[in-house]
Amino acid sequence: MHGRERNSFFSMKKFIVLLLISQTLIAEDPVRSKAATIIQDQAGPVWKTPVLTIDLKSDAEWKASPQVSFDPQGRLLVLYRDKKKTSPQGNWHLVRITNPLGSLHTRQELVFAPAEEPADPDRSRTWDSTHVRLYASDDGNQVYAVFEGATVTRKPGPHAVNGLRNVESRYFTNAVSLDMKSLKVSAKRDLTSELSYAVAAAVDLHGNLLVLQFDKSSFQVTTLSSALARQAPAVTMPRAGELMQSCFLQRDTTIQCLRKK
Amino acid sequence: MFAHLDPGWIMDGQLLASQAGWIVAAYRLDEDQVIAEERLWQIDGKGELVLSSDILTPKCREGWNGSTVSSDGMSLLVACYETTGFLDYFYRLTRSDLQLFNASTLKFQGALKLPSRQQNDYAVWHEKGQTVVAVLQNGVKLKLYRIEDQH
Repeated sequence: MHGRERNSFFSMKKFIVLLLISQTLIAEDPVRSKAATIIQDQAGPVWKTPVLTIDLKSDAEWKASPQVSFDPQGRLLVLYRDKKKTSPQGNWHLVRITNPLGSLHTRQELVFAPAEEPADPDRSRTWDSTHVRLYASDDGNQVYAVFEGATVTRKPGPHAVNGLRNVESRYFTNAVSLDMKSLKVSAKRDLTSELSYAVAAAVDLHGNLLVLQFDKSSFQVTTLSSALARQAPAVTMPRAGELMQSCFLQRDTTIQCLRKK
Repeated sequence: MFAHLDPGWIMDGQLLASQAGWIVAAYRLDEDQVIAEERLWQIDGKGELVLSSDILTPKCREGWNGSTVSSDGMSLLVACYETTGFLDYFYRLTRSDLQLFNASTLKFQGALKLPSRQQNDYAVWHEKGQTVVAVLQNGVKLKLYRIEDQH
């Protein structure tokens, strides 16, 4: 590399570093941040201080999208994958915190493994296309964790073709049924062939998992028991061929969708 | 259902169920195809417009999205994420804001700015005249915020 080229290379590197530092300062400094300033102009309170901070003492894999939700009884559910400790039960933790704002909140924990986890030869991409969703029954005693992800494997030949990775992907859907009364796994099952392209899900009044799928001519709601056994027959409803933007499945199997123009 | 919004408004994000009806966020583009303004819209089961919120401020370059409603259908959280790209390859989150609305009246209740250097998830609970917002940071810390209802 010639001296002049090296100099311009270093200048470019310096420029990138300075740009990143300045962006970090702008983003993090509440006084200089434009967004923060405008928010303070809003007519309404800005919450800054939490009433309670709970340290979960977890080694959560942040790429696996740790998530929080309230069950219908107001208990907090935290789902995360532990990146360090492996136990015979698995790496996924579902933590339930009862009476979270009370003086005596209680913490319960269930450790489990799904039927399949994503894989990728490039480990940094393993969690890129993974979604995990939790669905809780009305009493909170039954919780379903539905996993969607991909296993990516290298194809024979060059590592890249036309600038793209020479890989093939296989997508999976699986579910784990969790009994939150006894803190045990009720069932887990691969549902790829049955529930691929599911667009919405809910838990009915009996604690069954309802899953909504649709094709060009019909909607179909599949009911799975807490043992993840299919309850026959699935409910099928006709639909016109419009494009759907967003669908919502209610626990009584009523479906509401927004249609695209 | 087909939602009948005013002409030029484009629905964005998911459909959410509230106590008073269905809620969806929608925006209108200016001549440069940039989001000019955004509102929350409440529609009934037939898709007829029941109510719309004030214009959502501050503007969110990538759009405010209705994210979650409390299980009693009374509290609605909307979120704004903005990213900054470099060389069309590296992207980083530069803004992560939440706003709380009364899901029945679509009135603004308050705002929360989340740290953009952490991965956040959040949930909302409403009971006895107050809302609790839980924010999970990097799967490690859980922060709870309590907000009294504003009438």
